[in-house]
Amino acid sequence: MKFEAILSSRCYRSILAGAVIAFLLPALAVAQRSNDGSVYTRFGLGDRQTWNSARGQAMGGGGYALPSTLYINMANPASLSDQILTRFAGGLTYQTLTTSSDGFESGRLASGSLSGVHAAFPIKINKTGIGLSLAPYTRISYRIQDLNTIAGEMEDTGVIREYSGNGGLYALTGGIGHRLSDNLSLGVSAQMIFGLLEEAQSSRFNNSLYTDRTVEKSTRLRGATASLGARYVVPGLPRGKGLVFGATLTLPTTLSGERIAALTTSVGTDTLGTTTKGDASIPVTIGAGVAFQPSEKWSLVADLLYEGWSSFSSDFDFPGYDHTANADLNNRVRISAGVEFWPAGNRPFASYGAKIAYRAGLYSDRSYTSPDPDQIIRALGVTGGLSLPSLLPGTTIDLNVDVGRRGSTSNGLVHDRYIRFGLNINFGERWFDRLPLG
Amino acid sequence: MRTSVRQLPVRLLIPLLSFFLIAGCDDPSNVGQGLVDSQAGETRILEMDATSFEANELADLTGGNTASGSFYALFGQVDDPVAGNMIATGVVDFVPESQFSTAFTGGIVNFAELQFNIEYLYGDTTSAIQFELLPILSPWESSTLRSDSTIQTGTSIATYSVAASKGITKITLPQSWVSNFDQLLRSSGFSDEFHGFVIQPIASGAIAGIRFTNSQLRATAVPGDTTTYVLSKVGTLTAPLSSSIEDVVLLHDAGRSGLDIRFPIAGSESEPLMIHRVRMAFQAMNLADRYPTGFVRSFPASVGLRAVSNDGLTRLDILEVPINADGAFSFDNGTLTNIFQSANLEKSVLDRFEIYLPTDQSGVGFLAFPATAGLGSTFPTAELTVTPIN
Repeated sequence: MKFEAILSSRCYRSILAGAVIAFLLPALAVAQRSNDGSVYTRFGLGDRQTWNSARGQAMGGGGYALPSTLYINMANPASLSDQILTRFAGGLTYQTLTTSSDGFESGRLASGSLSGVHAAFPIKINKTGIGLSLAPYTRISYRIQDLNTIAGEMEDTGVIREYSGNGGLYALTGGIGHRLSDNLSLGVSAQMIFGLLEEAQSSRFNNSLYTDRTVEKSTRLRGATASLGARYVVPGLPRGKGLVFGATLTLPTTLSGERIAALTTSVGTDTLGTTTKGDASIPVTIGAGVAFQPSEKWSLVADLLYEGWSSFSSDFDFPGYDHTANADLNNRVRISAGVEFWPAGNRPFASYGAKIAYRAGLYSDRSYTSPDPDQIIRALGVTGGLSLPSLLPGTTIDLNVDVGRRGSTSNGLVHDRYIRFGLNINFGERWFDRLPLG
Repeated sequence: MRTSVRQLPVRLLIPLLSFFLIAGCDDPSNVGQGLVDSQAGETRILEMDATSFEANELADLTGGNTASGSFYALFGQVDDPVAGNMIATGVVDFVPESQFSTAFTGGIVNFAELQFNIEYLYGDTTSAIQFELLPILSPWESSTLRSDSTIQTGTSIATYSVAASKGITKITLPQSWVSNFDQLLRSSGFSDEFHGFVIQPIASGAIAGIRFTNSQLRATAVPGDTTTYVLSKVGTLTAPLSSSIEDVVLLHDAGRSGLDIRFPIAGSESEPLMIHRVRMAFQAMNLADRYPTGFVRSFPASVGLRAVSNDGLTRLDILEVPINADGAFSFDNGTLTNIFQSANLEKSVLDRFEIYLPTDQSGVGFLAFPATAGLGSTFPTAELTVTPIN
């Protein structure tokens, strides 16, 4: 059987889709064990992560108003009403990071991580759809190592101090979107937020008179919230043009959890105190966006995201958050805009090159955490991407890039320069259709 | 050609997926250390003064046998220029060296003597030691005998005076005692039924120590043979001391008390710490100029440290170290570090340290330490290498 024939087999495609998703899921565990990220991921509950769709990611990271029958857009549950095909999507990100700070040599780090896994099914084609998503909500991944000397009475002793962290929270989302009319779609989703935040601090010596010690702290959190979404298509525009507004509201919630701390030496591990139980609040999230399609070839989006982290409270202390002070976090504001150029538009017989979609975007992200309460940490970046159609109808491979910087070297802070490459797979296929009789 | 271009994304998929998952750079840098240190703190030396340094109520273990414990029975009395009046009462017991001969068991004991091998002296070695010999009426355990234990004795057997000098000293037991103990001395139940002697000082300028080797009870039967009973158990009972120097605490071998020391390491007294090393240093006072010429003052050779629980039931020996010629010594090992660590994290039942003189030294020497609390404290200090826990 020829390769093309094998690929066109429905059975094969289903198996391939399942295999790729199965391949991505273990990445959850692998990616979360990485320690090769920015020190800024250490603070709060970790670095906020968003992966709504490969398409939205390449257009600045938003997409609250972005309509699409070709992607699962989890930014707005109302968008699930667009589904025509059963879809599976997943993505991985490879990041290279150059980090610098006054008085320190620059460091270069690289790591791979999971962007997210999506699945969506149309209940009624282009009218009602449901979607499922598993994606990181926050991510902690850092390791700082320093060789220092302790001036002792007898002799100077070298000490390697290391701070590291990994883990993060995940969001498991299930949503439904329904098109109430040609112009208005509404959606609702439920979100389970859960995960394990781990941090470790160790001091190791090159002298046997000293005892190496590591303190490991693990905080497990879980909770649920819900999102409401709406999307409105402005009526009366000429064919081929479109103007869409979208908004979402994610309700605040409280994650409950427990923290365990342990002290490790070369001879064993000893838990520190008893397991501490407590809560951590997740604030309200409001997203709003506009999408404009001047022609079938062009799409423009602009988005705003607000998260009210200044109201964050927790029974636990986190780096950058002292639970007794109660007001150490900042509200997160993310602004993004993007453009997509799709030369083929809706022409089904265009050349392969014309069927590639080209995307670009930019964003500004004011972080909700800061190592210094008086300093705001902001990330600025530009994004881009290619959507490569494949032999499988409705299936694309999306290659994204995100080049940005975060923080600064002033005031003792750290300046990150990063390049993130995204590899995303987007399967679409008609399932659950009744076969014609005869 | 067109087909191969369209196949390209699919064919690149798996290698790219693998790369994205596996790729990583394991080269941590120190960028960001400043941000973390501002919250966590650096590894540093922490000087920690003891909050208390005082005598406790626990009398020294002074019993010993040929296998373990003390190896001297001390007796005598000394008016020490620093420690005050020292009184040591010796306790000794004997067992037959071998099975009795039929010639011995068939005869009648008509002579018995004690032979003491004096190897330890403290005080005025030109003086004599006068003492009273008393019989012990009930069994006693050398392994649990302390300087404040009570030994049940009978009426005085005799009074003796011996020179305060090293070597073998013989004293003859009175004929009345020999007659009374004739049958027991020849009995196979001697070890169980004979409990030994107490050597109670009456007057002297020195304290002497009787060692196991060559110390014995000898009994001669007529007609017949001489039998030797070797020294099997020793012990020392002492009277409380009172130092003549103010603001001094004494660690007295065979004394009525040890020394407790506490550090502010636990719970609210200290922040949570990773403790990497602890060195606890002491400096005993130099008292040489307080003693007259000719006063023999043996100095303890080693000192030990143990951790003790609040109720005193748990006692963990940590380390024994030699004492330098200038009276300085320090404790520094992993066990000590781990005890500090556990205490700091409030996971230890041990709440104080105790300094002691190891039992096998068996002398009456002492160490004196300045002990002024508050401003200008001369309490000992522990040097801790720590990293604050974030």
